[in-house]
Amino acid sequence: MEFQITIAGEAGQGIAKSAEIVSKDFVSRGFYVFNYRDYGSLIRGGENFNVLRISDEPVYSNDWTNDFAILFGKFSSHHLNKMKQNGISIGTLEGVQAKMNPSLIIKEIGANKIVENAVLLGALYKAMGQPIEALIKQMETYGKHTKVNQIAAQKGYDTYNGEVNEIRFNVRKGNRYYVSGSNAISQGAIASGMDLYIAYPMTPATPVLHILARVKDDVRAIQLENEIGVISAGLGASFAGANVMVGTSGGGFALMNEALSLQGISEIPIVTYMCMRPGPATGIPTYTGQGDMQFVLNSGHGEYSKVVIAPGDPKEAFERTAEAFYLANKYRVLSVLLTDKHLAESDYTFDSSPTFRVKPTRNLVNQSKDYLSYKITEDGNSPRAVPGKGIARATSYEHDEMGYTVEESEKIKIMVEKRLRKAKTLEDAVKKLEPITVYGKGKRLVISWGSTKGAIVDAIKLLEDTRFLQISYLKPFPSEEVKKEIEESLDVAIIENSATGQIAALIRENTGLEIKKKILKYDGRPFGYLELADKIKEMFK
Amino acid sequence: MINLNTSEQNTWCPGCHNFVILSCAKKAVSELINEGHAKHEDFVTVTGIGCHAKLYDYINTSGFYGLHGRAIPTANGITLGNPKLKVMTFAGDGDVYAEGISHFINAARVNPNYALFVNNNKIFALTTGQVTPTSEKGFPGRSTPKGNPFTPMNPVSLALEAGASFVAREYSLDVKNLTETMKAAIKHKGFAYVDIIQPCITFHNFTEYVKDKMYRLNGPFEYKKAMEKAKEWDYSDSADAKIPVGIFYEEERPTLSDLFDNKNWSEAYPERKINSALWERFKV
Ligand SMILES: Cc1ncc(C[n+]2csc(CCOP(=O)(O)OP(=O)(O)O)c2C)c(N)n1
Ligand SMILES: [Mg+2]
Repeated sequence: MEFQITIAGEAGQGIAKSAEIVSKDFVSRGFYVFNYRDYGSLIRGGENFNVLRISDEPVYSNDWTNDFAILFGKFSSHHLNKMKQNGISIGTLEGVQAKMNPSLIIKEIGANKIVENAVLLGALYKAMGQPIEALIKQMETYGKHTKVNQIAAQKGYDTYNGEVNEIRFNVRKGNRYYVSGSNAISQGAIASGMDLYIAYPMTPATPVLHILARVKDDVRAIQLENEIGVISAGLGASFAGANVMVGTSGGGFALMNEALSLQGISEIPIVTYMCMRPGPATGIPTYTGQGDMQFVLNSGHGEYSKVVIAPGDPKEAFERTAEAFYLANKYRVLSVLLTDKHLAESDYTFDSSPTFRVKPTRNLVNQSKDYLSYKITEDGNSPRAVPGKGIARATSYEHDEMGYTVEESEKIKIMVEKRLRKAKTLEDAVKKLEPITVYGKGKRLVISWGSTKGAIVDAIKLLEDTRFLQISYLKPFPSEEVKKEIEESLDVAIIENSATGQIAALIRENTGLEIKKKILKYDGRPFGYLELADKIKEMFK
Repeated sequence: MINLNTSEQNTWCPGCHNFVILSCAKKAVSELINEGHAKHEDFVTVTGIGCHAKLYDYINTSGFYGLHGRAIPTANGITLGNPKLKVMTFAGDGDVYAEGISHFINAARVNPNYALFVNNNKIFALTTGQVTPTSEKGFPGRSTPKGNPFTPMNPVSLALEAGASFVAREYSLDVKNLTETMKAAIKHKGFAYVDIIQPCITFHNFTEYVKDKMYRLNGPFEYKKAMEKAKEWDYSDSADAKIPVGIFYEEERPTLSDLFDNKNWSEAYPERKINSALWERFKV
């Protein structure tokens, strides 16, 4: 049993907050809510809307037709033809089923314009046959505006005289966690022992900067002059001993590239949170896409190893953030946490807590007199030490074990080969971290990575004979595991929020297998689960 | 006595002023150690890329041989990671005034606690002789055979304008004063900037020009006077220039690390379990 609500209005009308209130109310009563946020790159004027899919079973995505809608302000008329057969639309627009006049109602109670949305929320609760007390209780989070919002909501509830479509179902009790990707990455980083988060604002990575700047934990969030300054300072701080994450989106990541390459040769641990929006260039700042995958995999000039991890939902983001820090510190590499706007800014509901495959480590050794910053070892991994206790060196030039510059052919080869051996060591380490996950059963296989997980998991429940292979480690790539899954399938397609289907190229590069079938979406919007189920059916026809 | 020498083969041109700057740096470090100001293991030499930057290979301290133009943000990070470290940053005029100028202006503003020495030879030396932002107009660099079309910037007045808390200029061959000013810069709490006038004997030898024009300041001065003094020389090759050297300005104010509580993260390091309790923050 499930239903979907869209809450749409103008930027600045409190749409996101309204959605949060409704979501948290349902989650607190044991429901599962998925909250999709759609907003433009603007502060005022223009449309914002949230889509809430609410169910008694876990749900990880939405679709595009609604059982209920609050349509508020002049931009939301396009939702009118996205109502289900018996759907109820409420609002100020011409053409809605239940037209309301919240401005009149707030005048009656002597309130300010900003509580108009509370009136409509009250009306929505009446239309859904839901207890107004639940909404009023949830409004306690409004702080000093609580009372007036509560009065407005009650008034909206009492005034509503449209149709009622009572939602009645029993939900299982138990723990519920309601979390966005940005929140999960932030708390996951703190949980993993991060000290410093350094960033320059860039949507959709910015919420992590905001969240970490506010927390009271023993971490510091620092904004510096530009992304080159950010990554350089990140490497400096990590060299000095701090546990560092930097964060950005595609444009900022492009600026960071030279220093990412410096990471490769200096072998200073660092985690980079890379949250994609569609490109090229400024692209579509507040929308979603996965088109930077190959760019991230191939970032930084020169030949060296890195780790690229793509969590599929906030819970995974929490778990995988721990792995990103672990691998970076343990193997002195760059770990990229590759996410996108859809994962970062959507809220998901879970009923269990994360499980961890690693323990955090800073991996520092006590320096003896003969400590070598780039000791030649069998597995290519040199012990890590920091300045302040002895001599530690880091360098952008090719170097010997001490970290002194070399140009002689033999010495160059020794160090290049040391770094090459690390690639194999990393591959072995990642094998132990469940780099792939298979969902469902069937002879037909869809393959994807990152935030498409939600819609795919929800879609294959509606399909026969179809299973889903999620790839969580893009680098090192789990070649054997992926190859085996493909070879055991009768029909295979990849799914990606991009125009070219880059995962297909990556699979071919690593397994030699070519997948021709591609289900792609590149309009800045995520897949809806019904939309996707139809596309998969069509593809495997 | 701590040995600050390394056994790396030196590849500076014979007679290069970088030899003098290196020996002043070693002298400054060893005197600061002897005076009890810091321990050998506290020093970190950060460099950009250029001839000057080879200093990383020739001084036995911890070090970070960074990227061209990025010595400043790298040093910012080192002081954020461990505010106790004594960071000496050596960069070139190409590094700081061309490639990394935004870092210079912002560092002056946010006041990270380290010394920045700019080996200013008014040339890209390692790339064999192109003009930099401090090259004088008309100078025939290899990319400007008809003469540099642009007038130079004045990095000293720029540093003052941007809010640097310690601003000085020294000459590469004045061993005594360069060493003293280096020590003062390292001791200064905040962003200590020293422009080292360093003729390049191979690509831009302006030794004769500067030699008789320099005079010693009896600074530091209050801000307005410091700015007046900073503007006395515009880095051009005008015949009647007077070039003040010494400390222009010094003030004390909170550093970048002060503003983030001076945590020494390298010591916050017991191995610990992942704090999975933080997930409970999302419980509804
Ligand atoms: C990003 C980047 N661009 C260009 C270069 C090439 N490069 C190496 S040294 C240098 C100029 C160095 O000039 P300066 O900083 O004044 O140092 P000097 O050699 O004069 O001491 C340049 C442009 C580089 N290493 N990196
Ligand atoms: Mg130079």
